[in-house]
Amino acid sequence: MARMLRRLALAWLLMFPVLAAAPRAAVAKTCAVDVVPAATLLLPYFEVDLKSPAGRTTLMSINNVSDKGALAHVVLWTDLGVPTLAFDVYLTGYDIQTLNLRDVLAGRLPVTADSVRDPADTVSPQGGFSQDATFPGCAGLLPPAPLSAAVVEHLTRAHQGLSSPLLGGKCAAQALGDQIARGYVTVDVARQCSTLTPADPGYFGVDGVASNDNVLWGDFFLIDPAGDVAQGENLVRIESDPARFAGHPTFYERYVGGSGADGREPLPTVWDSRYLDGGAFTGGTDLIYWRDSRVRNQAFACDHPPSWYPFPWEFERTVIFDEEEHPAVPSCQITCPIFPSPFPAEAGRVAVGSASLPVPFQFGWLYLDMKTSLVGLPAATQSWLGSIHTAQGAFSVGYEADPRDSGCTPETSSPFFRQ
Amino acid sequence: MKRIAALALLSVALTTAAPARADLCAIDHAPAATLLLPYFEVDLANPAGRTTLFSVNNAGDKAVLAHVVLWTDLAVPTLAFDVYLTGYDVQTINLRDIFATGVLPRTADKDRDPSDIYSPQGEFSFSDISFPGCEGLPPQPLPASLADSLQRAHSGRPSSLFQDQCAGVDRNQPQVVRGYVTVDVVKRCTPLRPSDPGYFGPGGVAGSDNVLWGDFFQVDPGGRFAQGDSLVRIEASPDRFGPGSRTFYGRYVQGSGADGREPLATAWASRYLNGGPFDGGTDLIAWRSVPWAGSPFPCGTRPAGFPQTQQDLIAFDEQENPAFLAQSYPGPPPPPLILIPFPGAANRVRVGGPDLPLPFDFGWILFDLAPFVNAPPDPYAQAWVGQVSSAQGRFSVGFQSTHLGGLCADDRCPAGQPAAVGELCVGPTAAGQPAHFTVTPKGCFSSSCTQIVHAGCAVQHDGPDFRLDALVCLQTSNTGTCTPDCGGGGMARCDTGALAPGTYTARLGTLALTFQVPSATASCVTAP
Repeated sequence: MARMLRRLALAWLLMFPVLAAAPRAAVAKTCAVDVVPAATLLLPYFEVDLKSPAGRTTLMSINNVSDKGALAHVVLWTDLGVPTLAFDVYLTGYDIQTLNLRDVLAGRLPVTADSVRDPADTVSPQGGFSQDATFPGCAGLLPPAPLSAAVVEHLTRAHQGLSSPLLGGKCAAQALGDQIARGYVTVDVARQCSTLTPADPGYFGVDGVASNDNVLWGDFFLIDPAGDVAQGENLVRIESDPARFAGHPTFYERYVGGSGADGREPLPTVWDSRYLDGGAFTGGTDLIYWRDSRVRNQAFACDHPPSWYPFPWEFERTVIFDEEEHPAVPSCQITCPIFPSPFPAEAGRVAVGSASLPVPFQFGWLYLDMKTSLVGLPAATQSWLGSIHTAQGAFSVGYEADPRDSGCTPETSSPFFRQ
Repeated sequence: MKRIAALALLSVALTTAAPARADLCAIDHAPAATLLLPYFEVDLANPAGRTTLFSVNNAGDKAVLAHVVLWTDLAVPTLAFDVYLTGYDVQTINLRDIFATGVLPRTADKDRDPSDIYSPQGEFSFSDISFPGCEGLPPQPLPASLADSLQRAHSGRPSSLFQDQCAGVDRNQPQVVRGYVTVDVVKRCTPLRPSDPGYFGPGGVAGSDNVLWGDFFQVDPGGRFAQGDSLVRIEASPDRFGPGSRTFYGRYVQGSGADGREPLATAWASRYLNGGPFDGGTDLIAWRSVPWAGSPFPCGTRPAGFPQTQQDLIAFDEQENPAFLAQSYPGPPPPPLILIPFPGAANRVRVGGPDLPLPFDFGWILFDLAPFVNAPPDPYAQAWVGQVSSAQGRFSVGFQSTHLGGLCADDRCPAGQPAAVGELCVGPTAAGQPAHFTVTPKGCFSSSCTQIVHAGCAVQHDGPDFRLDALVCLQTSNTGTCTPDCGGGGMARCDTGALAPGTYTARLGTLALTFQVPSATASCVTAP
C-alpha cells in the first residue's frame, strides 16, 4: 500500500512543473551572491548569550529543495576559524530542519535519521512527494545522541575564547569576556555521514565526503528577546560547479590547496553598506561580517592567538561617506602604529560609530575592502557583510550589504586610491 | 592616536570608477540599471503609522539621473520624477512625504544648481554635470490636488489623474496607499514612463549603466515593526539581451529586448512561521509582471486578465506533507483553481489568512507564478517574492525568498562559449594508481583562431561508477586567416583516486565509458 501511494505521489509529481524542475542542481549561476539553492550554506555569524537563557540567540533553518533525501553536514567554527563540532542532519525530500544554536551549544542536536536508521519514519517522516534515502557511514551518527557534558563544556568554552579541555587546554576564539558564544556555521551537502570538517583531508574530491548538488536553502534569525529586536536574512548560498572552478579560487580554497576540488564559488572581497544613526533608526547600525583568513586555523595557546589575528586596519581600504558624498578616511598622524581592523576576526559584529569603527557622520555609506596587503599576513580575500539598523527599544532591520565585486573577479584596485 | 580625519586630497590620487560588474541572470545585490521596490504601503490616516522608506544610491563617481516611477498595485503608472545623484550620492525617500504632502526629493544638476545648494558633492565625486530636459529640477512640491489624486489612485478610488477612473484595488481602506516603484538610470529628464514609447531603444531616455543601488524599509512605528531589504537590482546588458530575450520590461518593449534588463524568476520558495518566537505569523510580498496594459479602468470593473492566476502553489509542513492550494494540470478537464492569493502586480498576503489559508503553522510554500497552465501563455511572466515574519508587538524580520530555476539561458563560462563534449578518454591504467580522464570538445577548432578560456573537469565516485562533469569554454576569433588545423580546442583533464583492479564505468552526460584496471591501452568514447 505504501509503495502504491509512493507511486501515486511520484505520478502526481510529474504533473507539477515546479516540483519536477526544482530538484535538479543545474540552477548554478556562479560568482553571484544570489538566493538560490546551493551546495553549501554559510551562517556568517552567530551569537548566543550564555548568561541568560532568554538572552540573544541565533536560529537557522536547513531546507532541502529536492524530492530526494539529502544529507547536510553541519560544522561549527569559532570566530577565529577553528572547527569545534561536526554533525549530520538527514533531510527527506523537501524537508526543513530548524536549529537554535543555543540548543546545539547545550548538546541538543537535531534528531534525524536516514531510511535504514529510521525504517518506521518515526524520526524523519516525510510527505507524499518526498523520497527517503540511506547514506553510508551513518551508523552510530544518526540519529545523534545528546552531546556529552565534556563536549558541551568544550563548545561553550571554546566559542567564548576560553581554554577547552578537549583542545588540550588551548583556546580557539577571541576572548571578549562577555559570556557570549560566537562563531559561524557551514553546512555542506554530503554523500556520507562523517565527523570530518572541510579543513580535513578527504573531505573534498573524488571519494570525499562533500557532494556538489545545489539543493540546500535556508535562513537565519538573530533574536534578542529581551531587547525585542530580531533580524533575519537568508543563509549565504554558495553554489557548486566543480568543472567551472577546477584550478580556480573557491570558497574552501584554503583547505583544498587552490585545486578547486570543492567546486564552490568564492565570495566577494569589497562591500558597500549604508549606516544610519538617527531618524527612525536611533539605535544606529551594526555590521556583521565573515572573512576568510586564508589559514587552516587550529587551537592555540591562549595567550598566543594566530599570527594573523587581529587583522590590521589598512586605512586606505575604508572610505566613509556622508549623504552629501563627503568622504572621510581613517588616518593617523605622521607615523601610524598598527591598529586592529574593525573586522579583526573571521566572524564578528561591530557597531558603526563605536571605538572600533568611528565615523564622523550620522548617515551615509561605507566602502569596505576586506583584502589585506601587509607583507607576512594572509591576504584575507573572501568576505560577507550584513547591516543591522536598529531603533532603540522598538525595531530593527537586517540585510545583506552590497558586494562591489565578485569572488571570481575581485576588484584589484580601489576606485579611490591609486595603488 | 586613532582618529577619522577629513580627507586630504594630497594623500590620494583620484581615479575614475568604472561602473560596477554585471552578474547577469542572478538576483543579487550588485549595482544595477533599474531598482525595483516591489511593494509599498503608507497609512495616511495615521502620521505615525505604517510607511515605506527607500534609498537610491549611486555606486559610480560620475553623476547620474535616476528616474523614479510610482505604479499602483495594478501596474498603472501614476507619477514620474527625476532624482539627480552626484557621484557616490545617497538620496532617501519616504513615500509618506510624496503622498501626504507632495514633497519630492530636492535635487538638481549642474546648470540648475551652480552653487551646489541642492546637490552638493564630495571630493571623490566626479565633476557635476548637466542633463538635457531638466529645467524642472529641483522639483516643486506637488499641488495638493495632485497629491490627493495620487492618494486616490493608489487606494483604488476614482482619481482625477484618470478622469475619475480607477487604477488600483479598492480594499475599502481609503487612507492606505499601495503600489510599487521602479527606478531607472536615464539619459535625460523626462515625464515618460517605461510603458511609454520612446522610453527604451535608440534615442530612448533609459540608460544602461549599472550604477544604482539602494534599500527599502517598511516601518510600522506604532506596531514597533520594521523590515528592510535591498531594492531588487535589475542589471542591464544591451549586448546580452536581444530580440526574443526575456527581459524585465519585456512587455513594454514587445519582446524586442530593447530595455536590455535581466528578467526575474517565476518560481519561488518561501518559509512560513506561525508560532514559537514568531507568533505574529508570516506575510508574503509578491511583485508580478501583469498581463494587462496598465491603463486605468472604469471603477467597479477590473483590467482584463485580473486576477492573475498561477501555475502551482503547494504548501509543505515541516514533515513535508503537501497541501495543494492551487495547481496546474496538464490536460483536460482543468481542476478548479482553489486560491489566487497574488492577483495583482504588488501584493501582500497573510499566510494562513483568508487569501491564503493553510492547514499548517510551519513549513514552506512552493510557487510558480507563471500563468495557470490552461490560460494563455505569458512570455513576460516574472515575479519577486519576499517574506515577513513577526512576533506580535515585539519584532519582525523580512527578506527575499529563494528563487528556483534560472533566469536566462545557462552561461557557466566565465567568458567565451561552452563547447559540446566530443570525446571522453581514459589513459592506460595501473592498479593502485589513479585513472586519468581527458575530455575534448566536439568539432574542429583552428589553433590560430581559438582561445581556450577555460578547461575544467571534475570527477566523483557515484556508487560503483564515476560521475564526470567537464566545461570547456572557447573564444573564437574571426579576424585574419585561421590555420587549417583542429588543434585549438584544448582538453579538460581530471583524475580519480587510486583504483583497485576491476571494471569501472565513467559517465559524462550521456556518454558512458567502461574501462579496466589495469589496462595497457587507452580507451575512448565519442559523442554521436
